Amino acid sequence: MLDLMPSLRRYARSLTRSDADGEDLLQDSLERALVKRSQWAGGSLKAWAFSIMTNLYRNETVRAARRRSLPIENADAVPATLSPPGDPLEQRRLAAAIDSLAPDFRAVLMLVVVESMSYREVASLLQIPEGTVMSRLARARTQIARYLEADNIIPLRRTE
Amino acid sequence: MSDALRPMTENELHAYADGQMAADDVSRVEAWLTAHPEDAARIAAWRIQNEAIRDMFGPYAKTLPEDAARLKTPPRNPLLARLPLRAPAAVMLFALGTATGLALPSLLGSPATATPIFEQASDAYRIYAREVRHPVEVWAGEKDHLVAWLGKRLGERVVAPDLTASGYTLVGGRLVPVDGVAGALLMYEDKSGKRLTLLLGRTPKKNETAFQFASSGAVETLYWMDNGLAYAVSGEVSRQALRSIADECYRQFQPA
Repeated sequence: MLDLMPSLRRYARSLTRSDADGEDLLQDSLERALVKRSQWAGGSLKAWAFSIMTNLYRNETVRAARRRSLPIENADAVPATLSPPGDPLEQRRLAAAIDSLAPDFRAVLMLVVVESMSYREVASLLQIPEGTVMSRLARARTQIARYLEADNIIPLRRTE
Repeated sequence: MSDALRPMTENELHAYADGQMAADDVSRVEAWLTAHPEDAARIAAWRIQNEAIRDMFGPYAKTLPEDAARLKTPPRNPLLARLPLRAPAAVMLFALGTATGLALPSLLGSPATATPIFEQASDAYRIYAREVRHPVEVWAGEKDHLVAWLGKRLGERVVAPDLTASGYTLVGGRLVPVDGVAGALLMYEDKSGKRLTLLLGRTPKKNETAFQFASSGAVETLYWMDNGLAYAVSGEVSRQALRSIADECYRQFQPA
């Protein structure tokens, strides 16, 4: 589980779009996982932990929407201290593009692209058909590309 | 007609871009892409996008020092949390924390808010012992200069204990902050390259304490105070091994 924490932290950050909320989600997920550890049916610990986090996030979003009390903070995106590689401006725009995705689309994109899970793993983790995984992925990609084009700057041309 | 001419579905193109296609199908897609550069360009764009997204999220996948502890702490009991008892308990814990917080650091010679010496020691071990090229500022080759320099900065007599009896030789040392003032970190290693650190910090009073152990993940630290200095030996070794090394350090720091 300790080995999974960096990935879980990253996934939590991508779902919540904020460092602080990401840490909270990570903490809640760890606690849930520890409480429910007897329910882990063997198999991939990673998939199990990721599905706990996804479900917690979904529940929390539903509750927050019902309360209408938590306006999701705007994407001032990647904190400066992280200084990710590449052009900082492009990074910001990409971050904003990803943040603009609906949570379910963002989850699919993260699990496939960043966590390198197979479509099938993602489907079982999110409990949706594999075809839905693929269509969400396709739409997420199109939406990001469109978002970046809308700013009329050539997106993501990385220096070689 | 050969299968190769059947148009590719969107899903197949995405699966190819993500490297999630069965080996048998890959050649079929590649044949298609040669004939359809516009699809090849889309796939290239997706791959660039994938790469950029991975780069962007890479830095978030970090480990924090408290991660191990977070897995060990028993989870909050949601039922307990709702009991009215919670507030008084919190007050009591706070009072208890304050009391011990006030009592313990004074034993260690540092203000209540300071990081305890054993944590500073295990942090220093974690940061410096893994350094390959720059583990120390002054290498053991200049040992006399090293101890004279550190001694001057600490205002106390510093020796670099000889730990060859335990199989460790001096790598060197560096100046580090300990409790906000100049301290010293000496590093040792054995033949296999396993390292130990000895952290030395000044203490305001001529305190003397017993040897005490602290663990932080895989790092064990044994610390004590004596003669105006706080000492902490840290390493990924057994407590028993640490104990005998600390004994040697203690003996060699005694005024001749």
